[in-house]
Amino acid sequence: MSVTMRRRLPEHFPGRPGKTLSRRSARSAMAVLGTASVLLGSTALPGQVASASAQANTVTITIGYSAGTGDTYYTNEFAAAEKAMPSIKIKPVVYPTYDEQLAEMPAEAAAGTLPDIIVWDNSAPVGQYAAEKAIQPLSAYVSPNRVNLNLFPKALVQAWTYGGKLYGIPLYLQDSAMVYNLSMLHKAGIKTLPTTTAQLESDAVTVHDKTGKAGLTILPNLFHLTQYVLAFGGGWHFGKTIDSAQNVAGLQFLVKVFTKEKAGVLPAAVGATWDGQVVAENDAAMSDGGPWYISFMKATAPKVDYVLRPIPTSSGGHFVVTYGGAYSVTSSDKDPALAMHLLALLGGMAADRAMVTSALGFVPAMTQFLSSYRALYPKYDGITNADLAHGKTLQYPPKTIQFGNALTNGFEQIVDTGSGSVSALLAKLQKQYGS
Amino acid sequence: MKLESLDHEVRTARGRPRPVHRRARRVAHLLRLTREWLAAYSLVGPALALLGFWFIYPIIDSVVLSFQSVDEFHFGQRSFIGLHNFNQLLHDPAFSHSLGITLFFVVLVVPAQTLLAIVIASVMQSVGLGRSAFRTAFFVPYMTSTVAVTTVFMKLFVAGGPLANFAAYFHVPDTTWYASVQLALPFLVIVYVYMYIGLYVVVFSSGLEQIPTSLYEAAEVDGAGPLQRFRYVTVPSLRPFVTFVVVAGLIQAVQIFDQAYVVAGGQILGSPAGATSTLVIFIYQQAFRLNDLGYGSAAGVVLLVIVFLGTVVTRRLLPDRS
Repeated sequence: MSVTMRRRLPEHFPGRPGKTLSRRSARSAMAVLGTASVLLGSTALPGQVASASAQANTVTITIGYSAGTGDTYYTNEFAAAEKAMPSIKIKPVVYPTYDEQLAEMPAEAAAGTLPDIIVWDNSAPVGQYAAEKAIQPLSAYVSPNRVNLNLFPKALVQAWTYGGKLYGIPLYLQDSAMVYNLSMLHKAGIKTLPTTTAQLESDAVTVHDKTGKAGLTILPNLFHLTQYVLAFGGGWHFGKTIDSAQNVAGLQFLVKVFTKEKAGVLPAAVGATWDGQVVAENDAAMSDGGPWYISFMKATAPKVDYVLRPIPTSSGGHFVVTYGGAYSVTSSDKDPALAMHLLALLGGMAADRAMVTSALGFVPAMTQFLSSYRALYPKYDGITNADLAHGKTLQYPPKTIQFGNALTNGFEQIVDTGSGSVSALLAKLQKQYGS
Repeated sequence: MKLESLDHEVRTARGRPRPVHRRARRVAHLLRLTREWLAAYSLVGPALALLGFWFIYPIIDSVVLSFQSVDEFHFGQRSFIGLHNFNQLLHDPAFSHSLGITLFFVVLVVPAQTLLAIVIASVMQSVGLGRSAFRTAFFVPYMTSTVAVTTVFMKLFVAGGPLANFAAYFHVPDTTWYASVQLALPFLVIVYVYMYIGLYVVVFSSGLEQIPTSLYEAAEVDGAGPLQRFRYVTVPSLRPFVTFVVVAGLIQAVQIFDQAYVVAGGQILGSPAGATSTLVIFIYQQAFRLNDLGYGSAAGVVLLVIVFLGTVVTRRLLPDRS
């Protein structure tokens, strides 16, 4: 064959005519390759062989979380858990960002490649994952592992309960709140914080009129739009009440502030990626937010005077949405009992105490550590234990991602172009995503 | 068996030379062909295997998927649903919106980048000194990361930013372009043309270098001015290059994704309010964010057909001979 090949090559072929690989050379080459592969294969040290046999008795559990300030916290807690449970080896799966984690998870769930355990919060479509059995119910393992759910705010446990089953062991607490940039409010002559949504609106207008800056900002997505729906006594109720009058009123409030009053600004419009940046740069006086503002403002805008308070309602009350981060066991895990045994440690008291001082800056999930957290972060004083205990839950419709996208797009369309109405939008969404 | 040895056997059996038997010749011919085919395919085989694995198989699988319903949380659960996905596409306002946006984008981008590239290449051709430097300068945006270029443009087109301010002189509202439903797509067009024009300038430059100077000299003798020389010598001579640039530009532009992805800034793709929801953004959203693989694949097949038809029509309309 080599003879024929050589004959067929054109004269200008850039090879080396006349020099074909003889059988002897080929054998030599194969021998070299073979030896190399044998040498490479035999580079394992005797110790490694021994440890390999030891590893045969250990179970590796993968835990996925997003990279960031929590890296040290997770590393320390995983090491402590491994020490307490020598038969377990924890392999971290680190997603670059939380957004990317949420974006990648559906495909991983479908492909069966999710980590055994994931750290996430329930502003994500947890209900959808539960309904699709991509995460496993943990209720049956709570008592055997002596996990005391009474240590957490009731609303937080409820937020992780779907169809009467628990789907997460709380790790940290999150809640919504109203963030007020006091420097801007004072500049506009506003001395007291609003106690109703009507006052919120008039204050936003005042700020705009007096300072030329926006009174209100919102990051347009399902979570933030939901806060205003709840402020007017509405809610999605898992898709049952999408087009309720209260929900229409909540979104209509925002549309009025942004279009008619022109007292609102979306973060992208001022070149920001989220609402915190807008408040920090004094481009807006008020925004719905949460405790994540505390570490952000401390790092990026230490001179800006601001406070966190529960969100005022249309009837003069106030509320927060209580939710939070948790460890969930995914469908990839074949031994949920063992995983839960591990989670009893990772979500236990020592781990939650460590959360208070961790670089994450997150609020610990257990109520007993809230005072320690407030001592360290006085800005959180405005949110009381009672607010958290009676916090509302998100109760997103089943097709959460699709619903969130459609709601946000529709809202942006109305705010930016003035075309369409909130009631028509919600009626359409009720038809499409209602249950 | 070699032809020479077969020939030898025939000679010795009969005792005198005679023509080789026709069947033996055919066998020898087949053997030679087989050897050549074996040699050829052993050389192109690895490349074909890679091509098949990375390109042909995904295309076939996409086509198959487009006729299936795939469970969003269990990819293994698939069922054949015929043309349902395509029927759904026909009635999906989000899809027709994405299709409209993509076509509008292509209609703006392809002529703009082609015309600008011809003009820039022609101007560069008349520059004696530093032509290579100019060519490199125009090519740099094409080599630069899309994310970096788009991010820089986002800073330039923010409300009060230099280019948003400049546009205000032409009665365009001084607003953040990429956050405005009306201006987000023009913003994408500007970023895209800026990035790709360098590539086409290089293509046209090489075309211009192939035009004999005698043509220009003859036109000049006949009294043609610079514009007439451009119109009657340059443009017709560049026709094959124009065809290439239009076809390649169309194929590229229909697939716009990166810039729109960056503009979304981690929020909902196609933001604001679907103004940048191009066809590929729609496909990505359906397949990888909403996990509807069947529906996303059906949209992908539509895109494939659009690219194919667009290429065929463009080649028919623009002859590739100068």
